[in-house]
This record gives sequence, C-alpha cells and structure tokens, in this order.
Amino acid sequence: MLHTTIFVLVNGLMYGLLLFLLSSGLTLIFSMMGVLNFAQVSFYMLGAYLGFQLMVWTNYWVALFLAPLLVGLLGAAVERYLLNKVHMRGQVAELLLTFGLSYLILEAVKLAWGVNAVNYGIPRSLDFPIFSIAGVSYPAYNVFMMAVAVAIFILLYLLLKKTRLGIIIQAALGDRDMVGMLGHNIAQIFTLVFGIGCALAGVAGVVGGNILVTEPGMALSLLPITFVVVVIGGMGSFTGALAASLLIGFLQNYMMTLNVSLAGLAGLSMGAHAPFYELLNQPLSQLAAIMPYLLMILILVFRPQGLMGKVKT
Amino acid sequence: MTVLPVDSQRLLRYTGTGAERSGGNVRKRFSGAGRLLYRKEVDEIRFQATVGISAAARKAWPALGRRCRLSLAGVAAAIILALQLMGSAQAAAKVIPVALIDPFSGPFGPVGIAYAQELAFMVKKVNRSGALGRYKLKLVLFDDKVSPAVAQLDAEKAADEGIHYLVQGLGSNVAFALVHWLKKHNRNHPKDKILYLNYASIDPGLSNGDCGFYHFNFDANVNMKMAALVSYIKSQKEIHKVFLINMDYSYGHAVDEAAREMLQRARPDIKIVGDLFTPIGKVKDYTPFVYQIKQSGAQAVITGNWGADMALLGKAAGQARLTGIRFFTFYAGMPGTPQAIGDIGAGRIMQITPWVATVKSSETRLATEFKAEYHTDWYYGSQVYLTGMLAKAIEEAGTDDPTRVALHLEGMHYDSPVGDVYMRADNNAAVMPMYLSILEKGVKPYLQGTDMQWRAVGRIPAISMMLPSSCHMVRPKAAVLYNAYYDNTGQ
Amino acid sequence: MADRAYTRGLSLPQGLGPGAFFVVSLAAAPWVFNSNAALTVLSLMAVAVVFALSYNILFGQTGLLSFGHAVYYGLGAYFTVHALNYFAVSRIPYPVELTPLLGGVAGLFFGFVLGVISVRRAGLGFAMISFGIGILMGSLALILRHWFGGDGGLAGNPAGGTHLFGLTLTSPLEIYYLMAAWCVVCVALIYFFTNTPLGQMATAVRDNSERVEFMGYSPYQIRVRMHTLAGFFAGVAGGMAAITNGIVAPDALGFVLSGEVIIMAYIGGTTIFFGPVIGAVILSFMQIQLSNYTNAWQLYLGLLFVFIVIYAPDGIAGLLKMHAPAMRYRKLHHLLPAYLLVAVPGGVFLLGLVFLVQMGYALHGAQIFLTQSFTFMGLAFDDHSVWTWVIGAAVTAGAFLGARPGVARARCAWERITVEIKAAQALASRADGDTG
Repeated sequence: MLHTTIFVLVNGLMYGLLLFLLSSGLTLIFSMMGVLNFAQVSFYMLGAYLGFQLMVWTNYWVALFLAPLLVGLLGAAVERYLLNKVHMRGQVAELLLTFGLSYLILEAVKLAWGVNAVNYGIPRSLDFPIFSIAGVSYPAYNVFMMAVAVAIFILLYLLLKKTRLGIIIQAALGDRDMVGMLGHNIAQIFTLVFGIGCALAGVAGVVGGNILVTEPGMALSLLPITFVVVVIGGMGSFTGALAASLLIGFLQNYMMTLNVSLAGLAGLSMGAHAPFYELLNQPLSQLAAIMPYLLMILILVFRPQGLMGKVKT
Repeated sequence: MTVLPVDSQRLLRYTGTGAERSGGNVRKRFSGAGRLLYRKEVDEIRFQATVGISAAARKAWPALGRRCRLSLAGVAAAIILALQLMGSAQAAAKVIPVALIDPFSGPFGPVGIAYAQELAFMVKKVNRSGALGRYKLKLVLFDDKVSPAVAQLDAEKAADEGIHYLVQGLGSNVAFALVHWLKKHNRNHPKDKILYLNYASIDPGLSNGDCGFYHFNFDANVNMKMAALVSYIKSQKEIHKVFLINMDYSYGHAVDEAAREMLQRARPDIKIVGDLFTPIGKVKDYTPFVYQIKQSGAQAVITGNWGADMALLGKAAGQARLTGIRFFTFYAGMPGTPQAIGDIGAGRIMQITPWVATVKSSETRLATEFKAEYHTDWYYGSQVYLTGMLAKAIEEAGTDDPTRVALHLEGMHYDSPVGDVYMRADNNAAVMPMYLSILEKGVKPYLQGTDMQWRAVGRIPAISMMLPSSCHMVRPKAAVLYNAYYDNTGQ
Repeated sequence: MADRAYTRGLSLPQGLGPGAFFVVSLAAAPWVFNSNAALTVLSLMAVAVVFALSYNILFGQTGLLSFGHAVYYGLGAYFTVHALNYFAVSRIPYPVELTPLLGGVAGLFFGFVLGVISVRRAGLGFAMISFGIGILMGSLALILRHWFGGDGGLAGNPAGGTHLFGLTLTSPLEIYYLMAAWCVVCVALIYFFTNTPLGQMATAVRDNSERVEFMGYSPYQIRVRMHTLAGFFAGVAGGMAAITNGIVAPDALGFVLSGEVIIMAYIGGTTIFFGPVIGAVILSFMQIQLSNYTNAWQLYLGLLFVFIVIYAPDGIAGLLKMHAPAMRYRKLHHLLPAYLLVAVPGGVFLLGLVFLVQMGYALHGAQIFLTQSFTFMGLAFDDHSVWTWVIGAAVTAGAFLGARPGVARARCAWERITVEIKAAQALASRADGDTG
C-alpha cells in the first residue's frame, strides 16, 4: 500500500509534468494573444519529427536546441503571414485558421516522414535506470523531462512577470491599440509570442516525442488532453495549467492503480440488465483515461473560469 | 485516316486460326508470342501514321490559313494520342479488377496503406509470374476510412463498376458490414455475384455465425491465434500467472474471453491475475498498468493491443526494466510499432504471426525484395497466400466467375512461400502454421531503422488451430450442381 | 466584411430562387446519376445538407462554435436504428419513413439536456465544452457496448416494418427520394425558422448578447433553445443517415465528423442560408469520390479551408452573393475580362499546384502502386528528376505571378462598378422619393 502511494505520487508528478510540457505553449499563446491554437499539437508533432531527424543526423543535444528553433521560426512565419490576416475577425476565425492548418501540417509530416511511427528513442547518455519503485524502474531521461518542464515553468513565469517584454505583452492583450500608440511594435511582439509558443511545442516534441510515440496520429491523439489541461487550469493561466496537469496526473494514476468499479465504490450490486450497468461496473482504472474529459465538463459548468483563471471565457 | 483498316488487317494476321479470326472480339484471343508481335506492329503503325501525316502536312501546310493549321495540328495530336491509348489497351490481357476497400487517409490510413503496399506487391508478382494465364489482376482502391457505412458504399460503387472481387482487411466492424452487404447483394443479383476476401479482420464471428459461401477469411481469427499462443504457453512450465490487458472494444473483449477460456482448458493451474481494458487511444502513460502487472507477480502478459496502444504499453514495460515478464502480443510487429518501442522492447516482446522473416529462405527473400522496392518492412503474411490462392483458383476454374472461383478456393491446399495453407471448406477460413517470435537485437535482416528483428522461438502446426466451427455454410444450388459436374468429369 | 444576411432575415421572394433550384435539382438528380452507388452518394449528400444546416443554426445564426455537433447526429442515428429494429418486430404500426423524426426527438432531448449545461458561455468556452462532450460521448459509445453495439455498431433494416405510400425502401432510388423529401422538409423548416422571432433574436445574441440582455431577453435561454433545435435537426440527419446506410457505428458520434461539419458550413458560407448546402455537397464529394483517387484529398481540403478562412470568410456562397448587385445592375460584363485574365493563369497555377502535390505524393508519400514514372492527366513525367520539379515549380510560380495583373484589374473593375452601382442606387432612391 505504501509502495502504491509512493508510486502514485511519483508517477503522477511525472505524467503531470509531461502534460504541462505539452500544454505550456498552448497556454502561452492563449494567455498572451487570446488565440486558441488548434495547430499547437501539430507543431508539437513537427518538433518530435524534427528532433528525431536531427538526432539521426547529429545528436540529441543539437536536436534539442535546433528543432524548437525551427518550429518556432515556422510558427512566427505562420503568425506573420496567415494568422495576422484574420486577427481582426476575432477568436473564432483564428481558431478556425489553426484548425485548417493542422490538416496541412499533418499531410506535410506524412509526406516527409512516411505514415508509420519512427524509431525515436531516448538518448543513450540518459538511458539508464535512475531509481525504481517496487520493481518498476525509471530511466534518467524521465527525470530530465521533469527538469525541462519545471525550467520552462520558471522561465515563462519570469519572462512574463519580471521582464519588460512580458509587461508589454500583457498590456497588449488588454489594449492592443493603446500599447501600439505608445510606440511598441505590436505586430512584431505578437509574432514573437506565437513563435515562442510554437518553439515550446517544439521543445515538448523533442523531449516528449520519445516518451510517447512519434507517428502521424500523435497530434490528433494529444489534442484533447492538452485542451483539457488548459481549460481546467483556467484558460491562459500558467500556474493553473501546472495545477491542472498535476491534478490530472495524480488523479489518473490513483484511479489506474485502484481496482474498484463505480458501483463497487457506492456499495451497489446490480444485475446485468440494470441501466448503465456497463458504465457503473467498469473498474475505475479503465475509466481513468476518460476522467479528464468529465472533469473538464464539470469545471466548465461549475467554474467556467477554471481552477486559476481570472477571466471568464 | 486510311491507316485504320490497314491496322485491323495486320492485326488479324497474328490472331491464329480462321475460325477465331471470324470471331468478334479479336483482343481476347491473343496469347504469348502473338501479343509481342502485335505490340511491334502497333508501334510500326503508329510510326507510319506519324510519318504519313507529317508528309501530307508538309505539302499542304503553306496553303492553309492559320486557324485551319491550328485545328489540323489539334486533330493530328488527338489521333496520335488515340493510337497510343489504343495500343496500350489492346496489348493488355483480360483484367480482373479487384476492389481493395481499406482506409488510406485519416488516423487508420497508415495501416491501410501498409497493407495495400504488400497486396500491390504480391499482385504484381502474381501477374508477372504468368500463373493466371490470360488474366491479370488489378487492384482498384476504395478509401473506407474504417467506417462500416462508407465501406458499404464503396462496395456498392465497386459493384457498379462491374468488379466481382472485394478485398478488405482493416476492422472487423467493416468486415461485418461488408458481409451483410454481400449477402443482400448476392441475393438480389444472382447473375452478378461478388466474392469477398478478408485478409486481416479477425473477429471469430466472421468464420462462425456470420460465415458465408462467398466470403473467405485468410487471416487466423482471434480464437485461432489464441489457440496457437496457448499451445505454446502450455509448454512453458515457468508461467503460472498471466495478466490480460486489452483495448476496450469488441476485439479486445474477444481476445480477453478467448485467453481466459483457452488457458483454463489447457493449463488449469495458471491463474489470471489481472484482467484490464483500456479505452482506445486515450491512455498516454501505461506505467500505472505496468506497475499493476509487476505487483501481480505475473510471468506473462497477453495483449491484443495494436498501434499506439501497443507501442506505449511496450515502451512503458521496457522503460520500467521489467525482468522475467514476457509480453505475448498479436500485433507488436505492425509496421512502425517495433520502431516506436525501440531497443527497450528487445527480449521482452513476442508476437504470434503466420510467418517470420528469418525462418525460411523464401520468406526472407520476399521480405528483402519488398523492402528494396518500398523501403519499409514486410509485415503481413496473408497477402502472400491470398493473392496466390486467388490466382490458383482462377487458373483452375479457367474463368473469373466468382462462383466457380469460390468452389476452387474452398478446400484448397496451397504451398505458399510462407508455408502450407489450407482453406477449410466448412467455414471458409484459412489455417496455416503459426510462429511465435521474439523481438531481438542483432538478428538480421534488420527492421527498417532499427537493429532488431523477430526471431522465431516456436512453430505451432496448423492442426492446433483447427477449432470447431458453428458455421452453417449455405452453398448456392447452382454451385452445388456445378461442383457435381466438375467431380464427375474427373478434372 | 460582407453584409450579414441573417441580421436582416431573408424575405420569402429572395429565397425562392435558390429554393426552387434546390428542389428541382434534388428531384432531377437521379436522371443524371442513376447507378446504385451514385444514388446512395446523393442520399448521403442530402443527409449532409441537413446536418450542415443544423450546424449553422448554432454557428452561423447563434454564433456558437461547436466541436461536438456529431454527438446529436450520432445519437439520432442510434435511436433511429433502435426504433427500426423495434418496429420491425413489434405490432406498433409506426411507418419506417417517419423514423428520422424519432432520431430528431432524441437529438432534441440531448440537445436540450447538454445545451442546458454547455451554453452558459458562448465563444471559446462553449467551443471547449462541446469538444469535451464530443470526446466523452465518442469514448462512451465504445465502452457501452450493449446499447451502441461496440465498434461494429448496429444494423437496422429499413425494408422491414410498416411503410407509407406503398414504399418498400429496398431500392436506392426509393431511399434517395425519401431522403430528398426529408431534406426539402428540413431545409424549408430551418429556412422559415430563421425568420421567426426566436431566429431573429438568436442572431441578435450572436452579434451583441449584452444588448439583448438589456432588452430584457435572456441570451442563455435563447441559446438553449437554439441548441435544442440544432440538436433536433442533427438528430433527423442522423436518422436519415441510419436509413440510408442501414448501419450506424460509433464514428457517427466522433470528433472527425464534428470537425467535418464545421468545414462544410464554413467552406459553403455560414452567413448565407444556402452556404452550408454548397459546403455539404463539396465536402461530401471530396470525401466520397475524390478520396478514391488521391491520398492527398485532405491536403486539398485543408488548403481550400485555409484559403476560405483567410480570403473569403463568407464562404463560396459569399463569393457568389458578392456578385448579386453587379448582376442586378447589369454590370457583370465589366468584370468578365478581368476575371478571364485571372482565370487563365489562375487555372494554370491550380493545375501546377495539383501537379506538384500529386508528384510529391507519388515520390514520397506512402505510395501503393510503384510505377516507373508519374502520370498526370495521361502524360508521364519523371518524378525523380530535379528538372521536372524545377520546371513544375517555375510554371506554377510563373502562373501565380502572371495572375497578378488580372487581380489588379479585377480590383479596379470592382471599384468601378461599386461606384456605379452606388450611383445607380442613389438615382433610384431619388426617383422613388420623387414619385413617393
């Protein structure tokens, strides 16, 4: 039992930080620009594929540096030449544009790297068991991933709260025109923000792509969970996104290691023909994976601003 | 335009006997050498036509107006193009179109494309080998996006195009829809029957309750695969506890039920210590389940997972450095899955398949040839004997009539490059020896982008997969008659 | 921004022209496309039309961007199949032809229940909650195998049970005419609905919900009603699909379909009533027909969608509608030369683009048939040669640049006729004033 508790805490933390890593760029772009970037996971996918390719050509550390840079540049170009054009038409138009973009990126990835998963492994230098809980070892790479996630959180926090640029960005979100009048080049700042957001997706791709699977379906399969994190955290709140990631991480791991059903939990015993028999008799461990969606709906109904969001969306 | 009569005159010279010459369709009777000569002839005619037209044009050219010249040039180009098209169409043998209904776009597109490549490769091989005589197979693709409704529509389209052979593999849900569509279609079109060849949908229902005369299954179904697996596990004395983890839909439940039932019968001492289902594609971190597996003390895990769900499970197990636990899988060898799992899967993950690249030289050769052309690994075995058996049936029947071909397919023994295959006549399901293999490093030929390959550790004879079937095969009356005739003449 | 038709509401005569065209083309289509498969495709297009229009009740009219609209479609389809199977064995003489109505009722019920919890906010909040509901229902459909029939779904036979008007629903033609009839009824209902007070208020909520609130209405309640109504028509569409296909599987509730209906509505044009109809026909065509010819169809769809989002926010219908005043004032001939000037290089550009994309897929996409050369429009090209690519790209880029003068001229012509039309309008109104 003690083992299980430790496992839930450690693995929950790890999975939570992975989720935060995946959704940090989305949060940044949403909080700073008000754009819900549907293509964020596509940029994440690009990051993973570029990371894989650069790792084949050079080594992991070069990939970790270069791939996010390339993804960030692409993101900046997208903002500058496409997104900019629909900005005036509001959030829905921007959302739809990125939605269309996700189709294009998917096809491009399939063209460049084929339709099957690629052999993107963790770097040799970090591929050794660092600790183990009850016979389940963890590679050092997972610890590295956690460190990257924490570092991103701290850096973003500092960037937004402590630097001049961060203050301008936040002001621009409030009143774009006024900040422009004050002599700041708003268009450039937005391009920069979008670029950084996409670069973060690139980092997540390079770091997370080998923990998860690097394949063309990865974008679509990660899309829901990253949205859930951002919504539960409160759209546009970093601390919220981190809190939501960890909440989902712990809760899901807890449910997955439990072996009771909803009916069992409530002390019910029911016949096979009772309504919702299948649902209520599912072991919790099996429902764990869809729990975040339920949580998201509940949050949106009862606390639409999310855990830490200030603005109601 | 006097070329055309000359054309047909010359053609007739190569068509053989006078009786045949008087027949309407000249094209059908070409064979072997005649066809070669004919091709040369067409080239010659084409050349002469070009020369003739250009000579005439040179003379008349200056006298014509600009518009006239332009239109003449257009007509000439059209004629040349038409001749070209005619040449290529007439030279071909009689084509038997085969509709391939599978996903080629969307989330399941990759798997569908991988299957289709192997099928296209085999069709090309069969056509080239000349096993079909005057016929040639031709694949026509229909993208069903693994949707039963779209697949039915695709089948309808194929029927409209006069296609009599459907091939489909991805998704038992689609297979059931097609079987129902097929029953309806064949009932309503007694003169235009369609044959459905399923190469990878492995729900046991397809060769039991929903079997049919016009519907053949080429892959071993879930129960057969499980029987093969269990017959191997039976001999592994160190396995006492087994953990089951599957995807939460019909197929996953079929695997789970088969495993529990067959293990209970074969080795009552084995305890099922875990029995889990996960929603398709929703679990990103399998470590909690790996933890449960470890805690349960299981020596073996049986899973029917495929795609990302298989890759993530394999990865999580590898990264956790689980020792002494073997993963028995159905689909860990799917293109991309060993690559996604990586080295850490080596020595842990096993799979049950009808063939392994390292067992026989004929198989290794096939895999190498395929890889040289498509730059990706050969995975499925069923395409090899599906195309082979279809070709053999057509050749033996001497016609492409689906009913006759079906009669030759049922009960067929076929010595394929991947082993002996027998098509049971009582439920139209193929049985073949299966191999249990383990993913290992340093075994050649390497899988694309890795230094691993599957090494066979056990061969399960076909007989252990001859399971009783609940199929009530309804054979068509006319077919029975034909069969009787066929047997009487002793052919 | 083009003027928004909904804000003023379409008056009857204005919709009569397209409406009549729509009905006539629905009735006449089987003469042109008469194979079984083509008729089924047409039936599915009719389904898509109703589905896209039901989506536009939410998006175009009420301003609610939903990412889970397929939920109501799928539930409608499942209820219809359950009803078909029930009526086939029970003694209740409920005609099969009216079962889509039951699907609609199911859609109505779930549209109401889920609407109550989800439409408290519009904008991204609603987008996200509908997304969550869509993902959740998609997963549940696979988990609750008893009711949803697992991944194989449920089959229902529309030929069984009692029938109206002596129909048997055994031939695709009968099914098509039934679908066409349902389609016309639904389109008419949705059309007339846009002019009701509720429809008008929904538009007001979309444009300025605060002002609506000041006027004493509750935007929330209006949204709930619109969501319920959209659920109803989506359910009817699902029911129609169930009858056409005779089968319904969990993909009917899936995210992919929810995404497709957005594309349908948006490509066609969400601000014009008949826009989604155009979008539904185009997307159905690409999905059902084009997908059998090229793996790249989703790339083309994506390109079209992105183009529409950036350059034609009112969709294809918006582009057509833009020309209505020019036509009324007989100024179209001023535009035609410029359009021709764009069309020729523009056509070459599109052809070049398709050529490059197809060649890219042939060379590097997962190719199924390996051929020595790449065939495009009956001609063979060497796709491994750099020169093919360079020349192809050069022609495409050249055509793109070549279209520029035409575009500039078209813009000039537009400015000219806009001024002329304004003048004509001013004159006309003055004349009106004189007589009145």
